[in-house]
Amino acid sequence: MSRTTFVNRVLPWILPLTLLGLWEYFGRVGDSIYLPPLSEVLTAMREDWLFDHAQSDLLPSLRRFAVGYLAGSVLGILLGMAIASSRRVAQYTGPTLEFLRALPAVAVLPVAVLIFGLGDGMRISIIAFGVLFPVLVNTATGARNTRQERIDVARMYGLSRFEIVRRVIFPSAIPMISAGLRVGLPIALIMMVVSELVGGQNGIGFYLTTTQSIFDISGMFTALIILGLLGNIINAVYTRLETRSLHWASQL
Amino acid sequence: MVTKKTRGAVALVVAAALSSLAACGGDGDTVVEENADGTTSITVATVASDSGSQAFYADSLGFFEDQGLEVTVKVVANVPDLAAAVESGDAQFALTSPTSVASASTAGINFRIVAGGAIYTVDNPGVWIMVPAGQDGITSVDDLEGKSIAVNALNTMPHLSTLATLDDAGVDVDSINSVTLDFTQVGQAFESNQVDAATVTAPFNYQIESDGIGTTMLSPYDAVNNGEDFYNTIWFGEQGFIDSNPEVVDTFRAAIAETNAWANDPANEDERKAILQEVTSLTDATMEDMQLLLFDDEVSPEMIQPLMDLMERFEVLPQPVDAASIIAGTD
Amino acid sequence: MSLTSAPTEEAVAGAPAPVAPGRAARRGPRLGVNPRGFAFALGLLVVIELLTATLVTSAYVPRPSEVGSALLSEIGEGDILSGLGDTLWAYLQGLGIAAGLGVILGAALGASNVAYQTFRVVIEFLRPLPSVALIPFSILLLGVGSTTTVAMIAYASFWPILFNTYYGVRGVHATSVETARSFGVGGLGVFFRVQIPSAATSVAAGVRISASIALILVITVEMLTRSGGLGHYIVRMQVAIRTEEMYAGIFLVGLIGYLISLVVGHLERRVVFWNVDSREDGGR
Repeated sequence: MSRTTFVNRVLPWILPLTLLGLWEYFGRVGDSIYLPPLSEVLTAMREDWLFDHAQSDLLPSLRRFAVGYLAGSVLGILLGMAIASSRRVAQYTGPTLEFLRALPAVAVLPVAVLIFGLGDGMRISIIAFGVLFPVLVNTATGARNTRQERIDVARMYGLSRFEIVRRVIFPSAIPMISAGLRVGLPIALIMMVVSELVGGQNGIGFYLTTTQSIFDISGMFTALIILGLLGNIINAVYTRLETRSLHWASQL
Repeated sequence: MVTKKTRGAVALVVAAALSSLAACGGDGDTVVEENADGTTSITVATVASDSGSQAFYADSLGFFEDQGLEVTVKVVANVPDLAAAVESGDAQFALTSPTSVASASTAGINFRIVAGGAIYTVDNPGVWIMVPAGQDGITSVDDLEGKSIAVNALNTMPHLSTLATLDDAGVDVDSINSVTLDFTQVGQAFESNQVDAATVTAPFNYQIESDGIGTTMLSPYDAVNNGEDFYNTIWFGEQGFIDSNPEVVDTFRAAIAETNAWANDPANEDERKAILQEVTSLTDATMEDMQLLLFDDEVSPEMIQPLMDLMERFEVLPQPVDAASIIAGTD
Repeated sequence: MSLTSAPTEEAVAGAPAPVAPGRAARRGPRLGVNPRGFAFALGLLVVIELLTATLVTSAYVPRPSEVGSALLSEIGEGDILSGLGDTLWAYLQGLGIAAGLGVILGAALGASNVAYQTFRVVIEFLRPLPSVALIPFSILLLGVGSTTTVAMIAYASFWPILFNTYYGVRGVHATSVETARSFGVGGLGVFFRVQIPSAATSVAAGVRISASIALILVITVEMLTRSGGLGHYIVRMQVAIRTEEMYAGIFLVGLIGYLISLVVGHLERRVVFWNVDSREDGGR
């Protein structure tokens, strides 16, 4: 095995495995209820999450995640393009958006309940709210950085303002938009949990609070592990999609 | 070169964190030292509401000092946070529901009840089932069959007692849709008719009634102990700490008893409300309406066991809990 | 696994808004007055005022004017501002720790592929864990109070800074590094004198992203743990059913967010001024 293969394929797994080993060791040596040995957590994982809670908690969470993420992304891209293509829109909405951006989901919750009720709509809106801003900021930045010459050329060919936005500005903003979409992923995951922590009936966040309040620490760790795995998987899936669609976009 | 050192350092930090996590708890047998002036410093954690207000009265009226205790009162939000604070030794005593101590006990955490908190009495239950105003269809418990009922959290006393009330009335409990909803959001949910009923604690019931958003039906706590008194909240500590610091426990109990005598005296109602208002920021109008809870200090198994039985009835505990086993000094 | 494949895009991710070259830089808002922005915000408030006065009449939705007068009277009584100092101090500490650690570790990971590969999996695993889920552990290790708040802020705002530094350091032109080498600058010298300064734009953008994350976190954690500060004020008012005051607190949070974004944007333009030109070609 060459050095590069070792570094790229084997090395990444040394530290995680060491940590897992340490976890098992300290879990066995210590008598703290808050650090159950890894093996116990894995047993709880098998018992709880294979089929049982996967269906009742994981699926609803994922559904809300997907819808909320998509809604937030689309809204972010649209608003971002609007802001970037018109200086006036940017000036008018700037302070209001900066203001809204600072609001934590927990504080927005009462308003979300008011508008969307107690169901999934409220949770989805919270996720979308979290994803909206990174996507918006990146879209606007990407769109503004379009080279002036390209816009001028398009204008000379008599393209309408809308056509310029669609055919020139939007394509050149795609790399930045894509980066914003990626930044939004872990945020959406976090928002998903937060929206389920406060009043809910199912979901990973709900499972997390339930296990915490009945001191099922192993169960709580399984929820954290699942979130970590989910983060990795979603990121990997996104990377594949991104590589493909960027390839497609570059041929536009 | 950066790598190995960094890796080593990180592994060290992680190992230290893990081992301190592992060390937390279990060895709570640390003895609290007396200060130079003969007082003892401890920290207690409680919630900022009427049912958790004893510590605030004791703190501002000097009942802790009378017993030679130098107490720091910390406000903590919820059960996992309270438990973590006591488990880590950050707080010596904390206030919670007896059901949490029972849950902890079945999970292998050795918390013990050291002193009493707020109690239920028939005339002063502190918890009510409410229905939105203008819901003509629901006038008695029977009408709640198949409805959605908001509770603050599943498997807590408000939830379980509501189920018991329905069950006693012959309503099929499985037909009920229990929605978890923070007390603060019940009014809003009533306004927009999103739930058919809710189990609510003070002061939210007063607010909902005075705004004409909902009406009170009955107290679900009547079903817990056949209308007899039981503990709504209690003070608990870690067993290791309790065993190695009997005199701290005694002085704390004495201070709580002194507090209860003062707080239960109707003559002190105005002063008590003033302190409570300071802590909770409740409005004058709500304070006026509010019926203050009674406290008790004699922690007998009889006033705890009904809650354990209720948990068992709805299969919340993996195994039955004997109330005596979670009260300090009775097991 | 994913990080390796699209470094260029992520590097750009690090550099939103005003640091962008040329046109955009001129377009960036000047610090201070933006009459149109305030007119819009004011108009929005008027619309909400009209809506809440006519259509949406809920006991739980106060009118903006009521919130405004609550804000003024609470400022007068000092209640709402008393927690503000704690909140801002926790904010600065958390963000400072995140920036320090994020830059150091991000630079180390960017400079050495071995270091990067060593931590890759662990980092990707930890990144999506929400701080709020870690609160009980933090209380266990650090106790109830501001230390936990600071730790949670630092945890959440650490990631953008780490990744932006990483991509910033990695994205430095190979030619710059080679040039420095040929002038006889050693390994560490190149690192400190070429890679770190060139990465500054990206790092600054990371700090900007984290500056808003940290604000969200400080309020969230204060609300969830009730450990003092503006977040505790908001939740206390919510529990006390004083809706006007609660929204006054929330309004204050948004206002602080707006001010912070102004200050950070301003600082960023001053600190990384040298990069505006050097990255004219897109910086890749």
